[in-house]
Amino acid sequence: MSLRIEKSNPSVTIQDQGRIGFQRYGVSPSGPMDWFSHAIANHLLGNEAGAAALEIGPLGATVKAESDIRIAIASPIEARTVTLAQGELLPLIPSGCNYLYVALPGGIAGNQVMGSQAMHRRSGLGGSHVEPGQLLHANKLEQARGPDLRLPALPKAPQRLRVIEGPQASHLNEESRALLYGTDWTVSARSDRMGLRLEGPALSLPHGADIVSDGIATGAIQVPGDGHPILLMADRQTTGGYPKPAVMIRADLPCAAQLPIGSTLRFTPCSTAQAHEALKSLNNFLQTIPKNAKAIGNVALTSADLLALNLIDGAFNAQNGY
Amino acid sequence: MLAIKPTIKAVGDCALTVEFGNTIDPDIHDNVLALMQALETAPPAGMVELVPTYRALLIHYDPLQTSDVALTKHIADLANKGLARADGTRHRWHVPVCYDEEYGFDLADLADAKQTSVDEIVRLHHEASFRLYMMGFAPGVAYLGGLPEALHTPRRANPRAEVPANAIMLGGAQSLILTVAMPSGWHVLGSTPLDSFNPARDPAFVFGIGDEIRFQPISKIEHSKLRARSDKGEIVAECEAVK
Repeated sequence: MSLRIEKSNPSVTIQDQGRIGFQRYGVSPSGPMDWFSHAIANHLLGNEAGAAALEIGPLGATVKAESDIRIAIASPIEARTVTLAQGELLPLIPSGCNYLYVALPGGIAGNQVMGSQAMHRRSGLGGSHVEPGQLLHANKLEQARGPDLRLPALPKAPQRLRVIEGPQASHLNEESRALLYGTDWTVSARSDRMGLRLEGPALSLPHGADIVSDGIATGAIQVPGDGHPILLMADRQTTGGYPKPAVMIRADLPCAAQLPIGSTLRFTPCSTAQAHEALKSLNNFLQTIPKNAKAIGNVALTSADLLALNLIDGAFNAQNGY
Repeated sequence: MLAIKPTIKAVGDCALTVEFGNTIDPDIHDNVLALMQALETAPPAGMVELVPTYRALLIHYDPLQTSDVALTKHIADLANKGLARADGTRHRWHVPVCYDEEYGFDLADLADAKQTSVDEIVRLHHEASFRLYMMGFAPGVAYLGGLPEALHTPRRANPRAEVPANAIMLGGAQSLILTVAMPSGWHVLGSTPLDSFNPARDPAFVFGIGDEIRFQPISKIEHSKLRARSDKGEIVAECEAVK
């Protein structure tokens, strides 16, 4: 079973659980920007959470079924499976969010580079993006049976995105700490898979902007010399020489990833215990898929039906979805 | 026994950093390597991967399999028991470098700045013994300590828009082996025909953290010959085991 990418652009990549075990060599782990939607798409088809799936970014893409095939599409707005008949075209444009995920039965077949199919544009490891015309094969051969499924509800996004203070919390003084947690930071158009560049006041660094380079974790808030924080994401570098006063918790990374350009976010510190509880809660939700999914009638929806649904979706609101 | 008591801090909810100091120092780095070796020998449940840097070890973990509390205790116990110097042999690499002016863009300026000759700059660099402290920025880019003080130089005021891959550079108190073309403010001394990173080759990476690096001057002709062998996937550097 296979899908052809008819229209593509650099925001369309294949991502799996990420390139693990090579960060000490300077290899970014990559993986999905919104790991939660990526896992939902995979679970809807009964795949492992980390199976290789398509990440479609803000510029969208169009796919064409080269065979009858059931795919799963997930974003903070909705999560469902779609059964396409051979020859059907499906335009997919994230609306009200930045990324949507398309899973194929059994995951997308492909060669691994250092144990992963994840695409990292800067180094080219895994490829830089999916090319127009590229054919994606599903690892599974059998056709899906039964009705298509959709998730009736998705977890609500938190009002403030939670971070754990440190490892260089002491690089901020009281004033800059108050600004970090008291500002509505705006997501800049210069944001990408490496990180969200945030617009707002410049944070002063009384000890300067240099630290002896150390390791970076995804979600780190890095403050370079100009005082403008960067929230480091999937394609981040592995080490860095700028202070990191706080790191976002894994449970809130999907929300951050999906904030459209121009929207705002606020940080709030929390404890590791709270962070782990939030993560377990999301993991528990994943375990209910596809058991708790609702069937969508007996007839596969056509792409025309889906386009109609996209028109009905309302404007993005941080309170409602992600 | 290595005696530094580390500080253990959370780096978000999926990683811990174990800090042995705040400077670039071989003894501090030995502690980082010793802890890394201890954890790799007997990995605790939930440990995902380790990233050693100059003075800290970053431990990525899976919160669904362990907790920060359990992992912190495990590390503290290891440190209290006393970390042994990283066991057995280290690798000493002899990395060929062509310091010809065709590759060593900044040699003449450096010689002027230090009021000495290009030959002297080259001699000081290739007679030094370097330690590979960490890799970062891009795959395989190696940060080396041990640059002789006579060669310490602040980075260029105007970075170059592009330095070719395989450049050997220096900046501040460090030397750098580049594996990708990039803009840089470091000073370019020469080029190595060795591909220390090659994703199509097994092993993809030549060096390990903590390895000793020495540079070996070669001619342009040697450089071409070795470059051709590198293109076929060969590792064109000698390695010896040292205690």
